[in-house]
Amino acid sequence: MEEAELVKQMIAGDRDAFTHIMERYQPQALRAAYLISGNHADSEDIVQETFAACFLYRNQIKNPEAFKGWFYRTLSRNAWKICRRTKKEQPVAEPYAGDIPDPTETLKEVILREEEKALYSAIEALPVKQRAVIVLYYYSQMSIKEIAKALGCMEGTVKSRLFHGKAKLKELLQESEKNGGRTWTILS
Amino acid sequence: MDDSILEQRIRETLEKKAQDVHVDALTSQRIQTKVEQRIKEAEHMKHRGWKKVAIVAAAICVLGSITAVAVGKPSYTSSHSSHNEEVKDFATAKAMQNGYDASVKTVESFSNGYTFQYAMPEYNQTHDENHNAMESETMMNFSYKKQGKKDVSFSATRLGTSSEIADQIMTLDNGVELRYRKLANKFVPPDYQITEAEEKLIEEGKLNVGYGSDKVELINSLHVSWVQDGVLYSLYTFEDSASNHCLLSISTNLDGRDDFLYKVYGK
Repeated sequence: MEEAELVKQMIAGDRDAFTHIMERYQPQALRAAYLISGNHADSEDIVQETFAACFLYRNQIKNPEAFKGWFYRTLSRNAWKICRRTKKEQPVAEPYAGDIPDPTETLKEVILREEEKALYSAIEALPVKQRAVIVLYYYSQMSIKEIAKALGCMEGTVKSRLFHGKAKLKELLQESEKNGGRTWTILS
Repeated sequence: MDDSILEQRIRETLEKKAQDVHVDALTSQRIQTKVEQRIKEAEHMKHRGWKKVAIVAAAICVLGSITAVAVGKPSYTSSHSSHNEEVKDFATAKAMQNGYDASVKTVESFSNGYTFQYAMPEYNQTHDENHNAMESETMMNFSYKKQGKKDVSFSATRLGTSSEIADQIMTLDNGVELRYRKLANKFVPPDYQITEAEEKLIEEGKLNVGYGSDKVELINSLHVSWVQDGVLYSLYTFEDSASNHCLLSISTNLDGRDDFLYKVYGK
């Protein structure tokens, strides 16, 4: 069934439609929440609060066609709220998946892993609002217009957060290189 | 570094990091169950005055909040109660409190006219900064009424300590310190965006934001807390719009019933 139709049914109070929406959105939402908050426990809290808000405040969804924007706006604000509540503007570092060396890894893979680790640390170091824009743009693949709608801000603000976010990442990576980190490489 | 390379790497890195999240059937079921539970609780609170619950939670959080954030130490306190467990008889409420903690003092009425209305168990829990549950307790939360005045709630906990934040401190003859404060509460829709100025007030402990309202509403609440024999007692009420200067205060020498020396009055 079309998403807009499901959303209309949910707005009308249909629990089955709500369950379908949860199933449809859950994996991506959980991953986006994880990338913004930086840890598993917070990401589950964020997603739970967002879904609960979806059903409880369904009457506020004025345009079912634009549900994705409404959903990610609620998710982002819940993420900021939870990050603030737990005083974790900077997420708690969890082991990076690439931390465990695989003996069969090639040199190319080792370098890539190191680079990804450095880059992810740099993303984690960004302020939460900047990090959210980076995640929505590069991971959730939302357009600047969609992000602006989702976050309730001007497109210029999104562009500015992206620009400054990227500049900050570049700066952090260059600093890391100076301090003995690897030089950025193009291996593909 | 070329921008397009950086952008490509950002995408790849986020994709890879996102793979840390395994959305299996169990995770999915757990989340759905908790969402259903939250909806049920919220719908229940909506009909039963969730704003009061939010203020109670804020009171415990503010008055009993703990500043330590080191791992393994309490970072915040959560609290919940249900009107389904409401008790309208003082003797029963007192017996229930004695069952939880007999050393907590209770009183049926105040000499200024506030009388017992109902009580219900309040489940308090401390958490560390990773939301892991630590200590828990159950105490009765008492509600008092007086004609023409806002209800006054009374609670006790062993899990909190007095906050350093207070608008007014009064030291009684017996050395007990009464801390009075007025807290601004803003009830907002779930998608409400907090301004930087509000963020600052929240951090300073001057504003409590409760999510769940259909529209933005501002309500002040008044709190008095004191610690006696290791128990943090709190009295709180909504500010009466008809009497902006309503002051909640307590005195130790006016009411000796139950060896519990306090009095509440509103001007």
